[in-house]
Amino acid sequence: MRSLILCSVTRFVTPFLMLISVFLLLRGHNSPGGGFAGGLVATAALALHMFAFGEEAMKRIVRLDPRTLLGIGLVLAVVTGLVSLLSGSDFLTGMWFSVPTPLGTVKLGSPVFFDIGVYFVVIGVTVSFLEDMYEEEPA
Amino acid sequence: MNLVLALTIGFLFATGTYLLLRRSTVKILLGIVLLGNATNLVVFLCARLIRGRPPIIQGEDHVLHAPYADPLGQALILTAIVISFGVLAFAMILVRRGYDIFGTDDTDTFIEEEQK
Amino acid sequence: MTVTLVVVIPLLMAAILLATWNFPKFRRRMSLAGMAVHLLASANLLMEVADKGVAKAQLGSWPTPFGIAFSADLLSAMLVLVASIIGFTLSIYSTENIDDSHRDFGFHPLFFVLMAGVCGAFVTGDLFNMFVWFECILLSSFVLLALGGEKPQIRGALNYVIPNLFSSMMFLCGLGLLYGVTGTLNMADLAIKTSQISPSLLTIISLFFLTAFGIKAAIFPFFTWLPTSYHTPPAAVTALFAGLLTKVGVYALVRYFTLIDPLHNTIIQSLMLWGAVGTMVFGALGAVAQRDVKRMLAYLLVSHIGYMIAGLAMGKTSSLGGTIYYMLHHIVVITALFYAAGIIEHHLGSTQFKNIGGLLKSRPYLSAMFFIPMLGLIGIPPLSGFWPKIVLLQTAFSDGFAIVGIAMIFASLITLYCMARIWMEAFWKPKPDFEAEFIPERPMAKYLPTGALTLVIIFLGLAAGPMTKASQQAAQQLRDAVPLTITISEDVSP
Repeated sequence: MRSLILCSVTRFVTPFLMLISVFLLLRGHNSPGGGFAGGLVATAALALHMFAFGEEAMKRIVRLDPRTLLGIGLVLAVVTGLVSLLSGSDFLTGMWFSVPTPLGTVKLGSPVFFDIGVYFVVIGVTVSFLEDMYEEEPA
Repeated sequence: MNLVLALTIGFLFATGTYLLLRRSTVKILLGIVLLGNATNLVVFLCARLIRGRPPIIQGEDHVLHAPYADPLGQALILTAIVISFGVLAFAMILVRRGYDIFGTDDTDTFIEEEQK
Repeated sequence: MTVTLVVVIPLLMAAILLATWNFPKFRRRMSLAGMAVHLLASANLLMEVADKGVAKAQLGSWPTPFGIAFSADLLSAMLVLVASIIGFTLSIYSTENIDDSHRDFGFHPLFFVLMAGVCGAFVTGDLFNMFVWFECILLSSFVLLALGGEKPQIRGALNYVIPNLFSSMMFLCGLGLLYGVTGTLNMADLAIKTSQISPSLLTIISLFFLTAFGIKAAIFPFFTWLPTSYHTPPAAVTALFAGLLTKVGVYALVRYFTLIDPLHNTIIQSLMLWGAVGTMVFGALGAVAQRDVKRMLAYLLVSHIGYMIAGLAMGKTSSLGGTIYYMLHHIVVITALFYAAGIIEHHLGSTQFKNIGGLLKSRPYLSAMFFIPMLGLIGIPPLSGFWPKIVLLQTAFSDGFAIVGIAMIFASLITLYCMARIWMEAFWKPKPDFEAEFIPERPMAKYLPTGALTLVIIFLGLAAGPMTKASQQAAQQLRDAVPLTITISEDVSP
């Protein structure tokens, strides 16, 4: 059964939830949020989309195989740690550098990339849960 | 408050253990959930209950003044919750798969089936 | 640096293998290359530790009692190297044993997560971090065990999952209580602080850990989950589990009961001694009743865990050295035996006594590769099982643990009986006539690693002098708790 209300609301809500998830991901270093919370919000959006439009529609949004997404996230997180290891300090040591942008310099650090990795891992894991546990309603 | 939490932990452990000893895999799964929550509460209680004192260094100070809530205990619980999230997802699928191929969630039937 | 690498390499490999999920073509070669690099790193780690006494790293450069520390002493480094050898041979062995369906469920990434978990548990210096690595091992082993998802696998997986989840909860409870009492989770820091708290409180906490690690290590009375689940997955998976997983439990027991609660406590010590005796006796008796090679080996595995626990429980430095040597020897021997059982299954399609036979004539190399680990497991000199057993027996009889000594001799005799039984049924007995589906081709990918492990067993036996010395040295390090204590004090002082 496809609910008209759910479908039309989802169409508006999903992009906002995605935006919020990225917002949470980026503010995570000093404020509540981070890769894990952001990833879960993103999955909530995907789950909502799946309930409204079915599994195929959700897969079209993710595009990648969730396991590939998981792997990419994990590679990103581990490599972030390895970079600091190879540059002489211990594994996962935070490294910071300034990036000049038109709006002023931005301090960018390896924890950001680590968090992005976590974000992908969380999305990958939870989406594969969703895929495995989802069942179409018997017609 | 400590006493209430301690009693809750005891109650959760008791019900969880009871469910864990049942024959039905679904009930075993519920038992694991209850035991997991009881365990998290143990860690929570052991890291001390302090209300309204977040571990934030106030403006002009340089160190934290006791008493303050210990964030590490909660970080440990958070990790444990994430892990049990994954484990439960797996166990759920396992129970489901068991139900699919054995046609029942009764562990005694599993044994009979295997002996055939 | 290498101490971090031995954990990071498998983790990175798992990540890469997951990311290239849809390109299965190079998967085998990649996992082989990954394990080769890991083997080099572990050898490097052992050399570093032998040179300096301890290798350490602070994750994220946080000072020791606050951040997570990795610290490898001689025991950790030797175990990591042996685990890496097992992993390397397995990455060859699994190319033939894991069929396509298993590979599609992700055998290779899971295998690397498991390796990362095992190595992480061996080198970590933080008790909560050890919990995380345990969960890492647990989750990947759940999935590996349930691969295939047929009736026996599902039942085996249920038997495995529930006790192990319970054990994790006990571990976490113990951790919570320990943290509540001492306010730290760094093992070296704990070692200092637990000596100041009341012994009865520490006993209660230690009971949680004894239960948790006891379930993982499969000691009496918690071992029943092991023989009911280990024979269900493919031989490669069983060999990996048999070799490494229970040893991680034993390692955790050794670490906890030398550093954090150094067994001055008579209650815990006597519980552990009786647990060890029960493990040896009941594991051996369980083995006698079996009519299947894999099941019999699983019970013998349980029985031999008892030796290691006994060595720890007797609490002498020499017996601890015996435990360490025994662990190293047992990892290799039991893996080789399960590899060989896998080859028997390949040739004859079964490991049940009624369906097998006649392998001595048709497969002489296989017979040799079974015979040598078999003698090693029984403990025939000069193979590796003999030397640690002698050390353990000596301590048992000279320090007033006669019952433990008698249990050891009993378990050895039963092992001899069981192995002779397997030898007669699988190799001497003529081939059964009915349904004799003999697959003649020799899978090189299975013979090579089994042969390699056989050579390692011979080496471990012939190098008894250096091995005994190294394990006694590792035991002395554990007993003194020197390296870890030094590690911590120099960091805390400023």
